[in-house]
Amino acid sequence: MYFNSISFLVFFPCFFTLYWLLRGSTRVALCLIGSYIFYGWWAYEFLGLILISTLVDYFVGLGLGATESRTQRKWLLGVSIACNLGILATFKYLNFFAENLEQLVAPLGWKPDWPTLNLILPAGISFYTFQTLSYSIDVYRGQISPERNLLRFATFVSFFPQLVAGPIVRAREFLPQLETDRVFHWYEFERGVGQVLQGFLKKLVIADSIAIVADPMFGDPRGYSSINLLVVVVLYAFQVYCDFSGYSDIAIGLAKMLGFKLPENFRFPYFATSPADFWHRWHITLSTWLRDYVYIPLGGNRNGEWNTYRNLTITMLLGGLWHGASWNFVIWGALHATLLILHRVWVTTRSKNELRHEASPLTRWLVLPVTALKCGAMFSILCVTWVFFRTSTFSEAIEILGHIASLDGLSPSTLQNRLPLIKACGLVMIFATLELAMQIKTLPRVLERVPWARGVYYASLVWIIAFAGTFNGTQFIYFQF
Amino acid sequence: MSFFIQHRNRIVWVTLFLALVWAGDRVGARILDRAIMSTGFRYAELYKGGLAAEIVILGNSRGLHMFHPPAIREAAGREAANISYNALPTVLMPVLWSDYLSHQLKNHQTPPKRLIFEVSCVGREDEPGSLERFKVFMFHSEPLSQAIAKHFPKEYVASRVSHLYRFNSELTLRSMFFRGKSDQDWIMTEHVTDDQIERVLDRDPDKFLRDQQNVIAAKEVLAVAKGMGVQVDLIVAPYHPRYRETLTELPDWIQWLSGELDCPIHDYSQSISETSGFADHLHLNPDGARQLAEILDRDGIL
Repeated sequence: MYFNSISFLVFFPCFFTLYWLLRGSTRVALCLIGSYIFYGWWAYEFLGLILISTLVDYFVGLGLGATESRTQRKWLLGVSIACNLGILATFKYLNFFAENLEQLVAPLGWKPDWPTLNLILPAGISFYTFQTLSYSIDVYRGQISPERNLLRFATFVSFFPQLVAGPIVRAREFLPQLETDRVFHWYEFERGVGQVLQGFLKKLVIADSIAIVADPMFGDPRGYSSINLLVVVVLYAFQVYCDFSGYSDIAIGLAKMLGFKLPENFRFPYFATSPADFWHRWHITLSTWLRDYVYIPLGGNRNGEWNTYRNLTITMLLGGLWHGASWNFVIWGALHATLLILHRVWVTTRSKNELRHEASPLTRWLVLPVTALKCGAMFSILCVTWVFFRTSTFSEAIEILGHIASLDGLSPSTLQNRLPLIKACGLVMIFATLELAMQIKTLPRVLERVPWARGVYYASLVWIIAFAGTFNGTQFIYFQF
Repeated sequence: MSFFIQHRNRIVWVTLFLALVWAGDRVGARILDRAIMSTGFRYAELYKGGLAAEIVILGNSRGLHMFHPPAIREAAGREAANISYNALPTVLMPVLWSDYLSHQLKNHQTPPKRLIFEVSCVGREDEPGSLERFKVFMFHSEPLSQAIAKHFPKEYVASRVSHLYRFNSELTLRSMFFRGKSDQDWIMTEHVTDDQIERVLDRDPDKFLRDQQNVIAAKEVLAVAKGMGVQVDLIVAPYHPRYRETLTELPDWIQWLSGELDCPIHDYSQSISETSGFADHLHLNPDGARQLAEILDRDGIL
């Protein structure tokens, strides 16, 4: 079931009403049943995978809680990792690895003829496997106690608002919330509704309006001029952001309406002034997951600069590969690793120099324009990286970037599909202004203090969605991950 | 009762919020409707009873970018009104055509003498979203409203619930381009390049469907015209010569459609041989439209 579908529009009010009428474990059971209905609506046959992941990690957790033996604990953790990564590898990466292996051994004259599995990628598989993995690792590390209630644990794994595209929730954040009955708070409910509307605005109005112009161009970029490609590449940066953060907003908002608190996943990422800053703002639950379970265990920044660079590279390559079985995602990860390393080198060099220079009044005046420049530069670099993220092959990405760099056809008259393009550009400009008002906290302050302003703001969101939304049931981009 | 007293403030807030959403929706829709109806966009003019002319052109984009009213005026000295539109579905054509005639009569205008109906649209599959975007004008026309209710019931219900949603359409944006000016000189101005044609030729050529629903709609257009004493000319407009070569099934399809409609069809699909007159493989630019108007005038169609 998609959030932007009629079935969800019927499902959620029914679920919401029943949810607040029930109490205790019946309410948790309703959450679980609701979550399975939500997921099974799309493909019930993949419910089995969630069940396997749930049961394996539940029993691994119990096992870890019951033994002090180091060897046994390692074995148990190994079972969890093997099972979760095994599911992920089979359904997401098997064909990719097989194809690449074939290409690798071809020069040796060996042509393996193994069958290609025609598997559909189960929605949300990367999200819930990471969630269950982190649970087992946390129990192994002794950071949390194992959950003994299967109902609560299964609900944690499959909680429908964030099941399919995050945020990736940690057991230590979510399981305690299931232990006690959530209490209805008008304040949380109202903010939840507001956040859901904001999410729908991002998805239906911005992301899907851009999809109308971006999809054909990325499908066949040859027929477009440089300016056309440039505009669409910039728009795509907003599409991917609004699509994904829109989903997160809806998920967090729905959870709020049910009395749950989910972690923040985006913090105005395009106001980032550096690559490191970007990763503190973009897909926060994934970047913190990778930090806690990959980067730090590899050694983090503890063993000298070169080891730090190596750890950053491995983490970002895995982060890239997490998005999908394609070399372009690996390249995207490598680009971000390079950016993070270059930034680290620059920061280290600059901080040494800064020790020698006091900040002058002039430099204080320059803070704002310099920050704006940094944001602009960072955004431009991000746009380049998104081209690799969006295209399916390296050569396609290079072709688009090469065509833009050739400056062949800079006249606005060469723009194709002008009406939807103008609509998308106009909406993005309005959205960017709104984001700026949110980032500098002007709008949130007003909305927090003045109840009628909140009412007008929410009503405006409804009007804009009705007037400018795209209701063609487009899938969320992150569903495929 | 105690529940209502306890939550009075929240109930008031929710009620006021819903009232605000509803009122804003209606007021916003009214403002947009006024704004659109004040433009020179063809359908705003049509529903105001404007666009009086001797010749009316009906079709999809091939009707729109082929029969250029200024070129017709120049070639034949007659006023023409083009009510074609990009990807206009055939099933909507009888509705627009009869709405045009009824609004002309309401505005005390005499009906046109001639209808030029570009029929290649009858063989086309409708593009998604091509019909429901006309919901912008659904409260100006009961037949249009019924057509949307029949083909897109969800869109129809949504348009009744939210009036602002009616304006969630390409036609809203398009009409704003024509504030204070007529759109009757609208035509593609590009010149197709060899490279573009090569790319089109790489793809499979368009198929011509034999769809009964479209045939019924075309018959309705003819019947409405006959009822009002308007002479109808069915025409297949020019294709780019190199693209036309790939449309091998076109002659058979024209013959079939002519039989279905019991009316001759003028095949002008090969009448423009100069490629400089084409904006792309399917549409003419002003040069091509001028040539076509001269040919039609010479043949006594205008």
